[in-house]
Amino acid sequence: MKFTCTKSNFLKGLSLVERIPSRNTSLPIIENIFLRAGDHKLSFISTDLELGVISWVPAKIESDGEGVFPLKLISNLFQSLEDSNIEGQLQKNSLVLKCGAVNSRINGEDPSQFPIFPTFPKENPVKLPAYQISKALGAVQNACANTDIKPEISGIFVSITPKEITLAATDSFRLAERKISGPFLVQEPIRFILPLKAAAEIVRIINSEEKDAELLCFLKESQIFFSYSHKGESSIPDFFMVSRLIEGEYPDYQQIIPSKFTTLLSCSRPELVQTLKSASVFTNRLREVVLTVSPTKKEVFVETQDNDKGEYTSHIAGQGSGESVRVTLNYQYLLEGLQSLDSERVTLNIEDKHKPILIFPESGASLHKYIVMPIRKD
Amino acid sequence: MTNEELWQAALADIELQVSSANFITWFRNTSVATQKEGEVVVCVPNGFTREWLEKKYQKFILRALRGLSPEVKGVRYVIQAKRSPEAAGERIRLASAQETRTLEREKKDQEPLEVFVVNKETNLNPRYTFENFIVGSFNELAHAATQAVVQNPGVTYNPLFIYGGVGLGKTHLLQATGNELVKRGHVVRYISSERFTNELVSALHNGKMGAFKEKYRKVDALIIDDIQFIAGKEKTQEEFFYTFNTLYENNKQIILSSDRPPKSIATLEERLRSRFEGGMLTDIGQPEYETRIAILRQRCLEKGVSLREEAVNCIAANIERNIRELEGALNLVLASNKKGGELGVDDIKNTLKHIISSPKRMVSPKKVFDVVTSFYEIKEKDLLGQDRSKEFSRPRQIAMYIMRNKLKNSYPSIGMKVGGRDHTTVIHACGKIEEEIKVDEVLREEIDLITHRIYSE
Repeated sequence: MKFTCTKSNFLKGLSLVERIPSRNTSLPIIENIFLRAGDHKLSFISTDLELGVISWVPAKIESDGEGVFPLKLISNLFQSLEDSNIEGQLQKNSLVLKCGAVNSRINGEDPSQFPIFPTFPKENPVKLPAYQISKALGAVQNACANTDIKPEISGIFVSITPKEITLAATDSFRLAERKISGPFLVQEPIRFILPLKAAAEIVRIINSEEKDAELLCFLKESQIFFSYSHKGESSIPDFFMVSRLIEGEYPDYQQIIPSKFTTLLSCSRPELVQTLKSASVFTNRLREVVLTVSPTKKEVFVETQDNDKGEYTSHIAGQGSGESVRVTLNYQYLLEGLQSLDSERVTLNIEDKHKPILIFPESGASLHKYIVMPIRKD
Repeated sequence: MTNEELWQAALADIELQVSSANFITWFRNTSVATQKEGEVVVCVPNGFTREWLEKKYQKFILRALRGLSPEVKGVRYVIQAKRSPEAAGERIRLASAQETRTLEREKKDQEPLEVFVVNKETNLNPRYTFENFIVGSFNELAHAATQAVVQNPGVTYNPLFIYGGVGLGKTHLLQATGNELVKRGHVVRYISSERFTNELVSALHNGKMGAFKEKYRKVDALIIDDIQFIAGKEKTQEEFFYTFNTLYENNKQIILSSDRPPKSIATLEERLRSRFEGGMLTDIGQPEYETRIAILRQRCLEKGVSLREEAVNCIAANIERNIRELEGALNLVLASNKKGGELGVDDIKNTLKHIISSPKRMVSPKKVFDVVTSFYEIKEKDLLGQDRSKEFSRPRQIAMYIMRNKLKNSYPSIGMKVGGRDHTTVIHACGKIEEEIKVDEVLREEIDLITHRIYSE
């Protein structure tokens, strides 16, 4: 293997795969990354066996080859190099590098021991709006359960119909749902549950909107494949991703989305967020915040208190209809829900202090919904 | 050999030929799906495993399989994200220990969204599991029976009939069994017999009997709580009889619970009684001291609080009747504890004063009559009346016996209260019952159940 590439390209390719390896005592080789030179490209591969990513960056390839190298070492070294071209060569299983005045040799392992990336299916790709999907996943991922106890909710529910794409996530205390309106070209409705780690990587990687970028997805045998490609210059390298899908039925959450309310109130979202952040300084161990939503007084009154720390109250203006209601919530759930929206104003819909609260942007309930269960306070 | 046996044997062979690290990485969570016409289909958990087995271990696997089953010609791999029940149980156990403690401690008043509480299809509440069910000598037989049912539903103990007093964990055990069966992929339905009756009545009214029958006959396991409530309801018993038969004939599991053994459910049709008794009959008694301590400790763990040993011992020592009462007492003590300062044993006894009722003072003759009449399904005026037929005289004598033995009332006062009878009648009744208890187990059980009810409700 012999190649030359720019530092920035190398780091771009590396950054796509560096978050995937996790500690694996029975197969330590996957704590490394796999590097391949060929086809005028430098490819980077990493996997934890449930999720795998291959990224490519342009490079000048003088001879093909592959190697497996420790992630931390490579990353630390390359970060520290100057911004000029890097020449790399494989010698036995080591990578020998030259960049400016720096000469380095990174010891590696036998690449034939690295897991083999599953072949990419070519049938029935579904074309998805890359950046919108990434943003939507980002908007709901906080609500996702981060535990293995209930596997069906340890991932994000995705449903694709010709009309719209629906994403939902819940940890059983709060639920977020976002819709993207189509039309989309699918032969029949598709549903799957995407593991949180895979979703989080997509959000992290596709972090800007690139015109003419194409995100395709293929489902086959309990696995999902994503392919991202972009013609011409791109800040996001092309990549393939493969992830297992979570088996099981996603809970039928539609039935618990509340529809009857005794209190409705709209207010400024940034103001409410800011108030909650300051109030959180005085919240107790259970993270409680008390909201008194009062359409007649045209305000939301926010209180937090803790026996040791002290107390805090504030209020923000709002308008709506219905009775005044006082409800106790976990401030973190509420805050995360508000932050996942990006509208100027939000509407709070409450049935009573023991029932789930529905929050959506004042402009449209259809696109994003957030539901949070209050804390029982008798 | 079965597919499972074949694969386990093949794995044993392969394990000897590959490094243990490789074996664990690539062969864990694999299983055989089918074996047809010489082709074995192996399930693997993800695409990487498939590539690796196909490209690196194909020879080993084929050789191992051929060695056990010479007809095997080829091996194919499919990806199935299914996880074994053992792995699931292990995950939950591991996750539970750390996570539940932190999660629950921070969120004890934070309730989950309704869809996560009770499953609409099965009616099972996921918080009842075997993991948080404490086993003691008072319930180990019932527990063992449910374990056997879970291993072999419809075969080993069918029907399974568990009876015992109120607040002793019957529902927990039944629901835990249901949840475990669901985890193993069976179709389960749990319902109280009261609701069964209501749904039946409603289905009859609305002409939806077809759907009703479907609902309760197309299951792998039907669990009915408090079956004693169908006593005296003819139509319900009839429908239940047909449901029972359909399930039983198809080797589908039936689990029932009741507050008393089938013999003691008065107006139960004979054909149902014989069917209930034809299966496995087991009871749950009252928890002994050590088990009460264990239950309290478990609850404390779940709530993320800790209570001093003396406190736990004090509660366990003073609340003997049932587990629900135990939990109520614990909550009361914890609530008082919250107001700052640790509670000493005397403070606890004070707090529990309301619950540690001195049995003699708290229970009134009226209470005895209420429980006895409801147990034997007779009217109070018959209990106290002059009719000497067995139907009424028996419960009457039992009521007298209880008032003498537990309430320690005097013979004349008992006689007066029970329909103005002479004290010698009472002496005779008590003596008779005492003698019979020595030989008649059913009677002894009935009196135990009645007594338990008197003090629990």
